[in-house]
Amino acid sequence: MGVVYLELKRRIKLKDEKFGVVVFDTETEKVFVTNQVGKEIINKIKEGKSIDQIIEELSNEYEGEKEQIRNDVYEFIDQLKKMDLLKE
Amino acid sequence: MEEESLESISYEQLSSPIYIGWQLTNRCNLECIHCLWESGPNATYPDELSVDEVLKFGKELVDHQVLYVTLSGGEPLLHPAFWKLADLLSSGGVDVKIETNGQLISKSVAKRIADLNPRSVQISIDGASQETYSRMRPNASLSKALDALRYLNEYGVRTEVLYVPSKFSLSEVEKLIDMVAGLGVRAFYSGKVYYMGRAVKYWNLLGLNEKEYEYLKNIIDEKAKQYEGKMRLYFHPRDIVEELQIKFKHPTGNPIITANGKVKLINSVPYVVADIRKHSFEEMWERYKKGWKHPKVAEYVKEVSLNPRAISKAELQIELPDL
Repeated sequence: MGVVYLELKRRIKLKDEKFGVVVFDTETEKVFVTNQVGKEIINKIKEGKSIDQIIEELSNEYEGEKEQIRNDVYEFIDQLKKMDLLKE
Repeated sequence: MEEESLESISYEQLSSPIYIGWQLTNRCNLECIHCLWESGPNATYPDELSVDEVLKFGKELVDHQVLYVTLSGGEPLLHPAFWKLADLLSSGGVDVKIETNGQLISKSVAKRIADLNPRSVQISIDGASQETYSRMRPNASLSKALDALRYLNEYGVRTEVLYVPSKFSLSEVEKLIDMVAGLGVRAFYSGKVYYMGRAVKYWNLLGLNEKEYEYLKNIIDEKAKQYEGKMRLYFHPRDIVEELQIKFKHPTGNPIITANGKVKLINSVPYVVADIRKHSFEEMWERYKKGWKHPKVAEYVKEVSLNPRAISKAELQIELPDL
């Protein structure tokens, strides 16, 4: 499998709150909450980084098995897809 | 690594709103027969916010990370602070939706709007012929509204159309939908007419019966299938009282700022919960949250549930006591 890049929908906005990070798609007016790591993943997607780059960077930043981080990132991406926040 | 998750939230958890509706002015170049606010060329409120006040509040929206603002009126493009405000919000990371009649959007204005990179521009069009359109919007030009959509789409702005139904325009809905789809419009909305403002006087023309609404809904559903993936079509099924009953139980947390800086819970409630001239942004948000729980609001919801026509007083601005 080649390098996989994701693209967020155009109108995704983020807002920091005490309880987490609000993700607002102003086009569909749907609102969700994630945590700081979720925010980091979203921002890295916005920066045009590939999934492997995101996993690599998070592995350097956080303690834990790289395989576990990989699973977490893929799980989060699945959620973004389910919430319809990613471009097809 | 902490597990990430996305889940729904309540607006009460937010430190400030994420979405605000702002009626910039009550002045309008038109005097539509259905207008909730009885806007018109001479309908400017005597105490509307000045340019400086508008820009000051706009900066607060940016500073408090409000993510999405709808600018409406009256006709928002008539407000002297419109362009500066829209630029301030857009460059500050706030998505802006402009709700307009489209009469003032020439090609050069469309380009200027496109440069703001707005979330969308919604233009109200209530008929497919000039005759029908101007019965709803006296002295307005259908071709100007359609040109506005054309220009905006040419410049890559997402456009939406709002159709307010009337007994005399129902027969033109299908044609109107096809016309605007051909121009590249991305969404077409309609719903029940609100018994408020100038609509009260023209209720014989605007008060559709259930059979007529059913007819409209069926057309919209059919066209939604035809234009799937190109244009979203949606018929909002609830009337103003049903909508209020739902919002009262489950507020969505988007304050309405009126042209004179008063803050309302929702358009269909006459109560004012804050005044941006008097209250700080934080105070405004706290008062908004408390406002939904005020006994007067509960009484009002009960009153309009028993007598739906009492909703017409929502146009008023009544200060909510003891907040």
